[in-house]
Amino acid sequence: MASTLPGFRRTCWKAEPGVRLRPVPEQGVCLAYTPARPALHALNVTTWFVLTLCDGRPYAAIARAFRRAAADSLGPGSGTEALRTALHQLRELGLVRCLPSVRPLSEHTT
Amino acid sequence: MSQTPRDLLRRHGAPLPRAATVATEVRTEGIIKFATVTAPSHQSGLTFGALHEWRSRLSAASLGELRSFLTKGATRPETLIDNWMKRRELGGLIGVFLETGSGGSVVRVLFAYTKADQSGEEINKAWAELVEKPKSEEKKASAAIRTLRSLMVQGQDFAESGLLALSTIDYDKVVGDRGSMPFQSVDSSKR
Repeated sequence: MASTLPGFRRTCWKAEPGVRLRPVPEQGVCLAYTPARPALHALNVTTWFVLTLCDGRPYAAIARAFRRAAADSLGPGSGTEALRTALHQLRELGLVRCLPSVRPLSEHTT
Repeated sequence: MSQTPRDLLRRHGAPLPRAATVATEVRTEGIIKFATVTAPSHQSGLTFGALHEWRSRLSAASLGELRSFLTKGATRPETLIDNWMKRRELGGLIGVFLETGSGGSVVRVLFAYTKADQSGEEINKAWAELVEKPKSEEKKASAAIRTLRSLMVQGQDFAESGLLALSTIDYDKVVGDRGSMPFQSVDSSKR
């Protein structure tokens, strides 16, 4: 699935404006509402975490933050492919947008 | 305890990513007021000492399907079921009702039992025969009750309960039945 998005390294990821989140941590999910395309989406904890990283930073910075969190975690969703799948799913649902990277990677350290 | 997604990942591990659109419906919570009350056409005056209720919360699509089912056929499903209950001298089907005050989503099916001294076992046996081994003349009623049941159980919070007319029962005898109420001595001491 993630292979449909080539060139991750040169991209930045940002949550779509107006997206509203309602965490349901006791069930390990976050509900997300997209007013632009009125719909409610359920994100599991991996996808939810990836969404929190999409604040405009480039893919490389997202990947670093994801790797750091995943280093303490086990499970099938802790690899690079899982990260790309999560980004793809978030974009497909209209929760994040993918932009060409314009800032040097060194600006983003977290 | 912090419950950010990062903490949850560390605590429980990372599942494969999953994000899916949730099917939602917009329902009001307004009460449906009664304009006129009309008895269903199949009803022919029942006096009963026990009711049996199915209750289910249905989606708009399922509710539409149920209504369509109830209003089709030369002899409607409620009539088929009611006639069968009367032939078996069990009682009758009071009907299928939409509950008010639930956003128009909760449906209740009410059965009445009128035969004096009939036991729950007799009633259950009669229903089981209708569902599983209907006689040839009972096949339409069997199909009707099976479809009605399938439509009801596909909803959320399906529940089934029995209601006894309080004025007609020996309350102490009912609650004193240790075969069906084994915790009664504990419960009554705490009231």
